[in-house]
Amino acid sequence: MQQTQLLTVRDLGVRLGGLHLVEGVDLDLARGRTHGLVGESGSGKSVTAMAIMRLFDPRLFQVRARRIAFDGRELTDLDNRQMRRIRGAEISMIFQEPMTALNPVLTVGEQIIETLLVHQRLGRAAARRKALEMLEWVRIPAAARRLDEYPHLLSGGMRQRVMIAIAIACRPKLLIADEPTTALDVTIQAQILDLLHELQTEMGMGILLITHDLGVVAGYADEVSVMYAGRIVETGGTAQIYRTPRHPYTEGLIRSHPPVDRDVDELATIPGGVPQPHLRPPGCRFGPRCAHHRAACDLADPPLIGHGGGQRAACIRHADYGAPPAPEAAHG
Amino acid sequence: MAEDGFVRVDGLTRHFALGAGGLLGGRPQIVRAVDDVSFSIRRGETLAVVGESGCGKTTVGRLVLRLIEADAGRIEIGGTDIRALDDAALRRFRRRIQIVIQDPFGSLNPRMTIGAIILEPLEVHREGNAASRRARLAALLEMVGLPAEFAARFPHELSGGQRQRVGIARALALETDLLVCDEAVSALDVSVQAQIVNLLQRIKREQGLTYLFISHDMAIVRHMADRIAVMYLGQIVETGPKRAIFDAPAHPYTRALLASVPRSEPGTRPAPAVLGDIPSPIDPPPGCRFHTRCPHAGDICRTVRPAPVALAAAHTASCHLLDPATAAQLRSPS
Ligand SMILES: Nc1ncnc2c1ncn2[C@@H]1O[C@H](COP(=O)(O)OP(=O)(O)OP(=O)(O)O)[C@@H](O)[C@H]1O
Ligand SMILES: Nc1ncnc2c1ncn2[C@@H]1O[C@H](COP(=O)(O)OP(=O)(O)O)[C@@H](O)[C@H]1O
Ligand SMILES: [Mg+2]
Ligand SMILES: [Mg+2]
Repeated sequence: MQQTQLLTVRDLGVRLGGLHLVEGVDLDLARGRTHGLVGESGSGKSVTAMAIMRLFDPRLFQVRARRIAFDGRELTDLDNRQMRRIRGAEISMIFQEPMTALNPVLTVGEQIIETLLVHQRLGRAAARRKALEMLEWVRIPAAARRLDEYPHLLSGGMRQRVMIAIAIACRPKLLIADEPTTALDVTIQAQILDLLHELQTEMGMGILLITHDLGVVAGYADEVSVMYAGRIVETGGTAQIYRTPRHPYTEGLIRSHPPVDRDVDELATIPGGVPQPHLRPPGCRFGPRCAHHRAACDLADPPLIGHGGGQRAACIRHADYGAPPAPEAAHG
Repeated sequence: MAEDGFVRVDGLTRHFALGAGGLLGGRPQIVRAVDDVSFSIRRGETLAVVGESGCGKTTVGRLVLRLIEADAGRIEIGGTDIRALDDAALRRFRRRIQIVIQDPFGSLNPRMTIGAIILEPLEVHREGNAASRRARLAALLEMVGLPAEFAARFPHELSGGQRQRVGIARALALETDLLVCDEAVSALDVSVQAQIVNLLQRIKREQGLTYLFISHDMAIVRHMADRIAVMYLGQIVETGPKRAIFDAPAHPYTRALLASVPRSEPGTRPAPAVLGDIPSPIDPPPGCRFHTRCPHAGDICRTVRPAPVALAAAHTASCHLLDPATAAQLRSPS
């Protein structure tokens, strides 16, 4: 277990002035595995990713973590220069909107070559050959021609393939994919997710897959962490969490999404909406929206409590059951 | 086809010219946004129009409301030929058809109170007096589940879900018969999306409304629709009762679309069902527009546009593979 661990995050927090954007985030990712980070808009998924990548301006954001261990090194000990060497090479990231992440005045080829030259000792000609190889890897048709095209000529799906080519050009050990398919049509999404999965199998990279789509997580993540209002409220193996969610928010999320393969009479709903960071309630952040809410919930933010099999949920309802509640039948 | 429809659309077509050639010459490019589209909606029914981005869904909705003019085709709502109405008649008619769109924030005037926004349609149509409007406002807020005091608030103080409720209340301010929902829940977080979906269902039941429900989301469509029209590159490729579309999808595109949707069953991955990108609606592929991505495409698909084939009651799909006259030449080993 210890050897296969790729990323260990403990107690990560990001503050902006007096505002806690995310707090107490723990994450574990093993080599070659996929960890899904799921939650609604504003829950702190991207902030978590940016903090791990150290992309925040320290003059504005206070990023604190007890540990960010990556591949045997403690990232919090590294200076900015050392971190730059890791970023883009050993850890890379793809973003939701590939158009804003790509440089509009550089050709597709130049952008891949740039990444390669920063991190690897290669001549220009060799880098160009490698760039072409990368485009073929991500299955871009007529790759040789695409190399000299500008991003605006590409479709959304092709741009995302180019982003992936850049991200994997140096064969990273960890890929952070922040909503990699949210902007894409569903038939294209299926292609991109399939490509990522194939590349992962070939290269053995770990993936932190950020998404708000529970279906995407169900299909591709081995483990999942559910974020709500800046905190992880439940974490564990994907199959176990879908079968027996222990946090009312996780359960609500699963049940409020209409299934595509069967009919339901009425969708379950969670009342209210996700609170803004400055309006988060005291105690359990989910309290005001929770059907099981009671006075004790407002006293303190509940810690993650183990339920066996690696599943943990931040809900006091389970604390006074003593043992984890018996598995219920899956929602119907 | 559209015998007893409350809404009957026949041969609806709208193309857009992009740039006029100008100094650089060249012929203007034509976007075939909506090309010979026909459907009908019975009173009290929800017809969902589903398809990927750019296939023409929004344009269909705007044409039906006559927010843009059609190039060709007929639109009949409640027996009235919409395209034949003059300005005054159209204004009167608009009271009965309303639209709810994806981003109500963009369309809500930031300086108007929520109350004024909801009542604006009454204002425009000079309907009611101060007292009756106040009563109507209270009823509308209650109907969409907003507290009465929200009337005095401004759009920026509301969450996405609350703004969508305002958009719905406003669309219902007059006595609406037909509601066009264009991606009305697509921008919302799932937990809020479920609230709005349920609200739309309840209002439809209570008010006996008819919905033209436009969405790219097959799961939402399954939940909302009575009947479904699947669009691809400006054309309807398959239409039928919800049951038929989900249990016996016939067109290769419908099948691909369904197969691509992630299931919430751990470990099941959708297999990429079609290759390549959606072609541009400028100069769409000849013959069957789907042939460039279709695993079954043969010669005839590249040249001849397939006619709708009746498969079962009210279930039709436009595919050579389904047409006994042409299927034989396509069933080669693949
Ligand atoms: N640069 C920033 N400056 C100020 N606040 C920020 C910044 N980035 C994020 N936030 C705030 O931090 C919180 C978490 O945001 P984050 O972008 O991580 O959400 P997310 O889970 O990625 O949501 P989405 O699904 O919408 O991408 C939000 O309330 C957001 O408004
Ligand atoms: N006013 C317009 N001018 C030019 N092209 C347009 C206009 N409106 C829509 N289109 C084009 O028509 C096609 C269909 O668009 P739309 O109806 O918005 O699709 P959908 O709603 O299914 O995503 C797209 O290619 C779009 O770019
Ligand atoms: Mg984000
Ligand atoms: Mg649209």
